[in-house]
Amino acid sequence: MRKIHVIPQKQKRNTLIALLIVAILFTIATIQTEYQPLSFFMNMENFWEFLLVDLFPPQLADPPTIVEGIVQTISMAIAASLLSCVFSLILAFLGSRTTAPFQPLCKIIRFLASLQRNIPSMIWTFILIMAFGIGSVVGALALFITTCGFLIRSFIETIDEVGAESLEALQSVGASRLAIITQVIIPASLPGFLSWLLYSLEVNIRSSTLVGAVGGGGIGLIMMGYIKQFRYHSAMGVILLIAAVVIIVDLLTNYLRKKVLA
Amino acid sequence: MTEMLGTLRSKTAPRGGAPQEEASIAQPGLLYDRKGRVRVKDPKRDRAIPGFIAGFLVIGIAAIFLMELDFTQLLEGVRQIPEAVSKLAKIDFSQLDITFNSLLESINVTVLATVYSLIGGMFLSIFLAKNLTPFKWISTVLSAVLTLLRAIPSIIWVLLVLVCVGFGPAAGIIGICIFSTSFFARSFAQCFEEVPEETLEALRAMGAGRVKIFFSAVLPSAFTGILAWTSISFENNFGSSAVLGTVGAGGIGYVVSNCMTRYAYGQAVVAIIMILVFTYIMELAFTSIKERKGKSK
Repeated sequence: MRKIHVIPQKQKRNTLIALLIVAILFTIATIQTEYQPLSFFMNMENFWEFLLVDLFPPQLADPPTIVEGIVQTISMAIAASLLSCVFSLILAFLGSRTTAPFQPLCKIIRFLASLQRNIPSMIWTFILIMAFGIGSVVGALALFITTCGFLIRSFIETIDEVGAESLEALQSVGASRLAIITQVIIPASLPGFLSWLLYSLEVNIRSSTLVGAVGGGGIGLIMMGYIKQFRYHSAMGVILLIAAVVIIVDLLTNYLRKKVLA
Repeated sequence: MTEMLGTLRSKTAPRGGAPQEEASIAQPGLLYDRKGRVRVKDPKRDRAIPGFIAGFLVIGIAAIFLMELDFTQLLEGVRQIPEAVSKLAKIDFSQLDITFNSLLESINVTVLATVYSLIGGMFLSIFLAKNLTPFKWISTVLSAVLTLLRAIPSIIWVLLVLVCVGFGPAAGIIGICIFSTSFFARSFAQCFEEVPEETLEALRAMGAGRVKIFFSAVLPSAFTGILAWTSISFENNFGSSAVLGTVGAGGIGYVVSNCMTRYAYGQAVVAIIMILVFTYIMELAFTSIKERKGKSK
């Protein structure tokens, strides 16, 4: 009896190949790291003891310092998002093929963006500490650099998407380059830009803590200090506070996405 | 029809009296300005966006001041940049083998964490997706728990697990897994929820069981989404696994932070370049897969 395949054969084959590659990589990785997944579950009592005795109940040791740290971390994230948005907007218009005044500039900007984006923000922090020393300056700059790299690429993609549709139509009616940019590309890609900006804010709120932990100041440095002093109750308090901030910001950005950008 | 156009004209046409032709081509659904021209912008829709931008600007500028940025430190640092760059430029390949091994360790940690969390996330997402879950309350409870797990960055998880299991790749794998499982569960559940209810109902009407529906209808139709989320998660996990060394766990991040504290900047640069090259290759690979996927559709 002949069957009609529900899933196309080609897709089935590709999936099989992908699964095989993953299985091979998985085996190699397991052998090399000698990681036994069950060992963690075998030692669960250790984990529960740590969780119930060392971590809970969480406490907030020094509320004024912690509040100051949280405010600094949040401001770091927001400021980095705002500044990098402004910079990336300019660079994206210079770097997109549809709007760029000179083509060679596109390649340079894209290369710069990929350099900024592909080095993790915590590594940027280490590099920047060499010149700037420990403090919120380093944290803000590290966030600014990685966010710029990410936003330039996303903005260029947004512009290209919008531009591809409308560029030819406008050129054929004789619109100038400036008119095309100000009258069509900016209004049409504004929702896209803002949605990326919100996403970068979410990412920055998370990573501003981490960047802080390796020397960027703010709540991350405070948390790292507690962990190094084995004051896990206080560390847990700070971690839960960070989680609350992240959840609130996520809810807020989701709300804004639905209300403003829909 | 003419009546409708008439009322439309009286609403939108200018008081000064526009040419008759313009009124006759006026169409419902378009907006007109005072001179009877078609408006490009819709003021109602456009009001929200400027408001949002203004609000964000105000908050952002306030944030710049609240950050207590030390401007003397900033200027001092800018002056130090040439010196720092010259230190970094002395590339030192003497520790190449150790660096490469630790990069491999980071990659291994990423692969294991991604695979385990993919399996775990897939399992949890079945209970999380509102159209597949056997009981609604499981979905609600699970959603709350996973949101909490996801709100804590993976590096912090690694730090906590490090205290339990001690130094080694296990801490990295488990720590990243906790975050990544939750991430996968959420995004897969979203993919599954996009599968049309009609499809599920049709299959149910034909007597297909839950397992059968999942494997022959839900999973294939959500496949592209799963692939995209997996690639995003792999990139994210490598980012975390590359930096978890800077907080005391192993991998290439440890080489970077160790070299930096020993003032061996030349060796640190080699490690950073390795990270850069690997993430860049990964980005290119995933972009090409995505493009090919898009073309074949």
